[in-house]
Amino acid sequence: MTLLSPEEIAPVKADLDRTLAALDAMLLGRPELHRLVLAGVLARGHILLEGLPGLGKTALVTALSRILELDAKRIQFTPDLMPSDIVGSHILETKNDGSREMTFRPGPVFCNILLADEINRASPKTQSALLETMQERSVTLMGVTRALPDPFFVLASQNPIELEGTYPLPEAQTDRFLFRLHVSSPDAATLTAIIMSRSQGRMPDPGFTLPADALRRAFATVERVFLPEAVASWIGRLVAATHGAGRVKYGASPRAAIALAESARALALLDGRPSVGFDDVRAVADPVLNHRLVLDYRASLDGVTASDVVREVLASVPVAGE
Amino acid sequence: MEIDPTRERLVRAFATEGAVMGLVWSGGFAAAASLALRALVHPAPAWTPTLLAALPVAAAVGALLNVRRMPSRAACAAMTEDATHAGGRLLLDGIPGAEAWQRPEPVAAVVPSRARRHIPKAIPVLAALAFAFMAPAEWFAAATPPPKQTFPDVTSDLRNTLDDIREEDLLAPETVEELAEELKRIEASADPADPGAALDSADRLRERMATLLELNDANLKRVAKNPDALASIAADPAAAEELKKMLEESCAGNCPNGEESPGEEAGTGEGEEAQTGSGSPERGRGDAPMAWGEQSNMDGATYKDNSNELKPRNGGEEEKTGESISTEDPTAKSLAPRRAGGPAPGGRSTGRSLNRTVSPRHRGTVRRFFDTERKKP
Repeated sequence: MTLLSPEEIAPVKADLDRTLAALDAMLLGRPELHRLVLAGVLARGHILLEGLPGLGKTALVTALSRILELDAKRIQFTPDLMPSDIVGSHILETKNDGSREMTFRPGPVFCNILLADEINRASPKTQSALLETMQERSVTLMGVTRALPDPFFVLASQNPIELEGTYPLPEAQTDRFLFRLHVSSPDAATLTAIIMSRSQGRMPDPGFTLPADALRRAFATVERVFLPEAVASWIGRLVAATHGAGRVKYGASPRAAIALAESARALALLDGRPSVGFDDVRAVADPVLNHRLVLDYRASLDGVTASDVVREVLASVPVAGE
Repeated sequence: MEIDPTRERLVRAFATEGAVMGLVWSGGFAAAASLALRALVHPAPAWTPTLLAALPVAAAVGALLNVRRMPSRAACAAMTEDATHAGGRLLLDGIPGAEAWQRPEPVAAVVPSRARRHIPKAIPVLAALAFAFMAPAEWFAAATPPPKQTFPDVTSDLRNTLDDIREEDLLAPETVEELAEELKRIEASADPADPGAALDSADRLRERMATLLELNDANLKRVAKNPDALASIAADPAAAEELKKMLEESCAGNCPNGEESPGEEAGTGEGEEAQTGSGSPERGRGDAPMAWGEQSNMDGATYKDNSNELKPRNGGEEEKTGESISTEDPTAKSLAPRRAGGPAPGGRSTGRSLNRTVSPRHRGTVRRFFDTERKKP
C-alpha cells in the first residue's frame, strides 16, 4: 500500500473544508457537530441525531443534502407507519394494453439521504424495515433484491424526552448507526446570531455545493488513509475492553471496531493527514460506542452513562499494548 | 531515534518499579526470616547486617529483571506518537510514500510512575522490618531454647570448683593460688568471638584440677614413697612437680607405706566398676553431647589403666604402686544421683578423702546436667 501523497489529499481536503464552511454558515454554532456529521458521511455511515425539539436536527440533514447535492427524502415516523411506507410495495397496475401486473413502487428509502424523523415513534415492525436497508443498502421484496442508490445514508433523529408512545430502537438497529450524536442547545451568542441573521429561522442558501464526483473522490481517498497497526491494535483492545468494563451488560460489537476505524480515517482526511492517529480514535470513540453499550441496572442506580464508560475505557487501555 | 527519549523514561520507570518490588519482597522475606530466627534460634538479631545488605542486592536484581518486561520498540513508538499527537505520522516507518510527509518533532511520552502502586505494600513491609530488627531480645527470649554453654559458663564452673577447693581446703593454698592465677590468665586471654583456644586451656586446667584432687586423696599417700613413679606418668611436668610437692606436704612422712586404708578394699562393694575420679561429664566442650564408642584398648595411650600389684619389692625395702589416672570409660553409674557430699556410689573407695571430698567437678557437672530444661527429671 502506498501512502497518500500531499498532492492527492490537498484537493479533497479543500473540498471538505469548503463543505464544512458552508454547513457552518447555514447552521450556526456547532462546528464540531458538523465535523462529525461530515466524518460520518465520509465513512459511509448512518447517523442518529438525538436532541430536544427545535435544536435543528432536521435542519442539519436538510442543509447537508443541499450542500452535497444528493437526493434527500424525509419520512416522518409515526406509530401507524408501515414497512411498505418506507421500502415500497407492489401494486396491481393496468398497462396500456389492458393487461395487469404487479409493479414495484419504490418507497422513500430509495434516495441518497433518508431523513428518518422521530424514528422512535414508529413501531418495531416498521423500524425493522430499515435493518436490511441500513446494513446491506438494499431492499428485498417478494424475492427480489433491489440495491439502493449510492451513496445512501440514513440520518435519523429522535427525541430523548416525551418517550410516551414511542418505541426504543432495538439493539440491532442502533448498532447499525455509525454515530449517535447529541445535539446540544446553542449558547446565547449563537442564539443571538441566529435571531439577527435568520428571518423566520430560514436557512440561507449554501454558498457551496459539493459535486457528486468530488464526493466519490473523497470516498475513495478515505479508503486509502493509512491505519497503523498500533492504532488498529488499540481500537481492537478498546472494543474488547468494553466487554469487561464495569456496569456494562453487553459490550460493543465488531461492527463498532470497524466503525471506529472508518470514522477515524474520515477524521484524519478532514485534517489533511494520510494516516490515522490515536487522537482520531479518541475523537470518535464516544459517538461510535455510546449507543452500542448495554449497561446493567447498577449503571442506572449510579447514574452512569455509556459516555462515562467510554471515557473510563479510553483512560484504562494504554496505547502501547500487546 | 525519535523514540529513544520515551524508551529512556520507560527504562527508568520499569527499573524503579523493579527495584521497589525487589525491596518489598526482599524486605518482607528479611523481616519474616529475622522474626523466625529470633524466635527459634537466637533472640538477638546478630544477622541484621547480612539481611540488610541483601536488600539493595535484591533491589538491583528486581530492577534488572523488570526492565526486561519493558514494552517493545513498537509500543514505544506508539507512546511517542500519542504524546506527539502526530496523527499517525510517526508510525509510517517502512510505508511507501511516507517520506513525502513531514514528521513533527517527537515528544517523549509521559510515563507514569509504576513504582507508586507498590508503595502501599512497602509500608507494612517496612514496619515489619523495623519490628523484626528493633524489637527487644527479651520479647523473643521465652520462645528461644537455652543457648549452648559459652565460655564464661565454663570459667565460672572452674571458679566454683576453685571456691569449693578453697572452702574445703582440698589443696595447698599455694596450689590453689596458682590455679586461680591460671584461670585468670585463661579468662584474660579468651576471645569471645573464638573461644576455642580458651576452652582448650580451660579443659586442661579442669583436668589438672581433677588430677590434683584425685591425687590428693588418701590413696596418694600410698605412693608417697615413690613420687618419681607418679611423676613419670603425669603428662604435665609442672603438674607432676606439683603433685610431688603436694604428696610431700600431705604425707609429711606419715604415710602408712603400703598399709591399706580401712575402707579401701571394702569400699562400696562395687570396686570392679569403680570410677577413678577423672569425671564423667556427659557434656563435651560447649556443653555438646558426647557419644561414646567402644572402649579403647589403650594402645599407645600414655596412661595405662592398670596398676601394679602392691607387693614388697626388693625384699620389702619399698613399695611401689603404679596407681595412675584412670582413663576408664565413664559409665552411666558416674551420672547416678548420689547423696550430696557423700561418696560416689560406684567410685573406688578412697576412705577418708572421698568421704570428705565431693568432687567439685562432679558437682558442677551434675548441676549443669539438671539445669538444662530437657534433663530435668
